[in-house]
Amino acid sequence: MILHILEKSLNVKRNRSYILLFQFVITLILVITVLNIYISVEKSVDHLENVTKGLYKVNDNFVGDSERQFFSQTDNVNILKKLYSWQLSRDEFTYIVVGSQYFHAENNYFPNKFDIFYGSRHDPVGSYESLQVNNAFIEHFKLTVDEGRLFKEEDYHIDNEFLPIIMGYEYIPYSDIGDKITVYYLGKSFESKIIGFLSENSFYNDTYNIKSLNKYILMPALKTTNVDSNTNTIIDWEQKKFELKLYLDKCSGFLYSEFPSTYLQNMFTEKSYELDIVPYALEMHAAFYPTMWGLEGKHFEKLLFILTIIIFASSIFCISLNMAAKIKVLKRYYSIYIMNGTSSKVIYLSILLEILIINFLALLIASMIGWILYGKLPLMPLSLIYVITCVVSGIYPFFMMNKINISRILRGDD
Amino acid sequence: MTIIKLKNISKKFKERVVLNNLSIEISKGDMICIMGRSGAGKSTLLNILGLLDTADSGVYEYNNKEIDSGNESLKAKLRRDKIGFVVQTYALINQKKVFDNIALPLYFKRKNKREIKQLVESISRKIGIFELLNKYPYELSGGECQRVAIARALIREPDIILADEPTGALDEETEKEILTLFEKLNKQGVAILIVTHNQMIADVCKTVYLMSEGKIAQLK
Repeated sequence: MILHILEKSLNVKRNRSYILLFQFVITLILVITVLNIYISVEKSVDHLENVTKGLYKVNDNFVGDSERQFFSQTDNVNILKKLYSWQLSRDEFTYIVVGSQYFHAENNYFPNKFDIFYGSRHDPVGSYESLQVNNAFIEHFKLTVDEGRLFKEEDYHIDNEFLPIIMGYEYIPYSDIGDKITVYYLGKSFESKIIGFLSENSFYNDTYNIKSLNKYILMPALKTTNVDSNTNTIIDWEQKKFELKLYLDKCSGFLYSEFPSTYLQNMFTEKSYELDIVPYALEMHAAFYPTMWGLEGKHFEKLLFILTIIIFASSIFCISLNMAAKIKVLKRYYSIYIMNGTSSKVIYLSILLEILIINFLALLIASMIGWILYGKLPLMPLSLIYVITCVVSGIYPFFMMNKINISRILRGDD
Repeated sequence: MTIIKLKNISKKFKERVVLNNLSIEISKGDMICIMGRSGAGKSTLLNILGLLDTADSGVYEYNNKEIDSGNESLKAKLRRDKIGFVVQTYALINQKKVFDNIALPLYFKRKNKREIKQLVESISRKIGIFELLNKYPYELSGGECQRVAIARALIREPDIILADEPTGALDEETEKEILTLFEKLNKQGVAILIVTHNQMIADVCKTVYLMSEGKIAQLK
């Protein structure tokens, strides 16, 4: 019986069914669009906040004479190794290695635009921005690769045949996975091999700025094994010098913690005194808030959310009006059906079924269009919107059905 | 045998009393006419008898069983199986052919296509509209439309036909034809209740009631 009435309702005044379908589709596409913007804004805002909040830069305080004196004693590498091990082992914070030394490649391996001296008074010399990082860096800044792979545990050993490196996204047209390059790092020569390319727009927070990693080269925070740091047996003075610089670089990284800054600073001061070095100082990272249309990220998120609600509410209003108009047109038929043995409950159920079907069709069409336009769909919100639309769109027809005066309609008075 | 019995039925529209403690009984073979001025409550009474409307108070009995006014599915079933309606405006669906209009109650009864075809053809022959089955209502004259409406009322094999001004929109000759049809159906055992202003109909009916200020009085 419901299907008979439904078929009638869909066929009589078919244009109204198409208008309803069109309204649903437009609503859902608008909602998908706004939700997609909302989700990507929320993701960016959260990502930016997360990489900024609770992040500190660890600075050494070796300056002037004290620096020269510290560097003249290659055995001081043992102190830095102890400090580094302590940094890695603490539960109060996550230690992130971010050593920033230049990378020199032989024969100006890459185009000049990558060279740090490009555009300055100096001629390009084949020096490139690089970062010595550990896995904590990759995890904290949520880095992913466009091609190849990220660092594995075994990549961190200095005595590997090749130094694995990951290139920034912009290097893709100029190199390939597996390319081998002779590089100089902290005065030491390495045979390096490209193992991956970072995804586009990868970035990190360098204390004061958000820096794109598109032109950076990442190398693993190297673990040294060939110098016995517990004895004074020097195998190679140059090697120790290299290690001293390497560890100095490794110890001045970032840390992520939810503990208060004074508490963390006290920890570092205490440890520095214990190791008899000038205390390391913690510096809080600058906070970043993306702005869009002149609004800070969180406010923009709110605006988009309100926009979604407004679109949704006005659409529900229009859809309800359209349904009401349709019922008004069909009320004579409904009265005839009731007179001939159906109940208003059955008619109401057929209206609900019609809403469900049209809304579902619209959901399918809008999802397809949304997928083509954006390549992804906010499935949970869409399902929720589908359910809410069906329920809310059914309220007004319910009242309309209760208002139908069969007697007047059949007499032709209404 | 009593088909419908109304006991002490009252109905108000806002403050206006339309039916005032009214009782009426309709039995098999009755042909009743209810007359009265406009606004006397004739159509309201007809709607209550046909279970299209509910009374504010009183008892409705069908075949000596009280019908709960809240039981919508039972009321729909009675309208579908036992009570036929004929109204002045014919209440036909213009987008459907005469065949489908007549078959409407059978669709709701979920009868199979073959049975529906058989029943519709049989009833349309009886009423004399067989040749109209493939036409649309807007292609018919008033009298033909009313015959289609009567065929639709009859196809469910009703105990009673409730007619609201069934000849109100027809010329005198067609009116006579429709009344003759009603008389014929009544002779076959179908109870008929007609609400009208028309004295000619009253003359044909066996029982005539007059309605005034929500009350009913038997004239004939």
